[in-house]
Amino acid sequence: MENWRVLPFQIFNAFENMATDEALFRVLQERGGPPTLRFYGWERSALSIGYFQNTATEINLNYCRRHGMDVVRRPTGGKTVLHDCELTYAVISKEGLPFFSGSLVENYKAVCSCLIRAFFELGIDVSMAKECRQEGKKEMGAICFAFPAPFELLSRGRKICGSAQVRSRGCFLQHGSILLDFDAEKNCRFILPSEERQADRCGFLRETVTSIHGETGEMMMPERFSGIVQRAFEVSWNIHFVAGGLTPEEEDLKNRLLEKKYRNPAWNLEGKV
Amino acid sequence: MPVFSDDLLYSREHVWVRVDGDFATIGITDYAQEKLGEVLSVELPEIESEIERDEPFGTVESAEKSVVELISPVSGDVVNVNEDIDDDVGIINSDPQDTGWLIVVEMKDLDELDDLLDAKGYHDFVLQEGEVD
Repeated sequence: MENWRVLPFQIFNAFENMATDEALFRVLQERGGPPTLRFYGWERSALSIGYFQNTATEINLNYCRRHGMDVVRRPTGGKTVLHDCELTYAVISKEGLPFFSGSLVENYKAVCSCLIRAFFELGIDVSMAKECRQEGKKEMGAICFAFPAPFELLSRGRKICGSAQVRSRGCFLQHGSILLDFDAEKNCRFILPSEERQADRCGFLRETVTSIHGETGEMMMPERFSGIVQRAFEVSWNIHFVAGGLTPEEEDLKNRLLEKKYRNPAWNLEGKV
Repeated sequence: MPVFSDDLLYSREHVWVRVDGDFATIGITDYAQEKLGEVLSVELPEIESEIERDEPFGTVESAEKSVVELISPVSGDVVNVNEDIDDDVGIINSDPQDTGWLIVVEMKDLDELDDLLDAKGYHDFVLQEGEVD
């Protein structure tokens, strides 16, 4: 039975969260080590944008500034996520393990199959999207949760978890947001750059996104669901988790990334460091 | 079935190299573009920038919301960047080993080429990844 490290649920700000994920990914590439499953939350609501996104046209930056919303650029792909009421997970691993093949999609499927098992524990029937939804894409394209990529997770056809990856040198980082609750209006206000047809677009989001609260009527605490997810990984892959923290090298790199990259507006707003 | 061209060298990071004297034209392999799926965006270095072997020189994003770092097979100065990709990023998928080239590098150390694989060696390498017949 293979040993994995688990970094139990902790809450940090947006910049620390991204710096930590990237530090884990870089140190694994350089030094090796066990695969890691990390759980985290967000000190205050924040927007994360994908590596290639344009903040001038794909989020409502002025509204974010007026309301003190942190905006952080992820090292991974995909679109904008409002991190509000969610459990965030990150898997950091080499690609060569038995349950991962070299394909991007196969890695998504491997991780998402564990998450499906966790949702099932709550009585939520979740399945993988077979294709990307095209309806409304032009108007809603910047919102991650408006569009499931193939193999993202749906309950009753509504997206409940969004994930993204970065890969380099035979390692990958996949992180994702598991929605505990979802506020369509808040997503529209902070993400959509134009207020035109805001009500219609919020209606679209309400119809196409769900959450654990939306499916069960109960508020799930992130710590509790992280335990359920961890157990689902253990059972699905026959692995053993050892709880740990960052190594001194990871901590040091996290702090350097925080200063040079993730607290730097040039990175977060323009993608430059 | 991906194409493995005899006139190219290949890195284990799925990048090809076409050598012309001190110059190396670099792109991603046909095998890599198949694995990536549809490429949506690409970020490449500027002309006159310096790149180092085994270090990232660019990134691509696929439709599966994955960012993949491109690892340089050689060290040197970037002397040309494929501007056609700005107009049509799709050529990375449709013609990755020819018109979908990414950059041209003036190499600093030709001995670095010795670590690269020929077409058969690369084919055998990806066979080990279990996805090629």
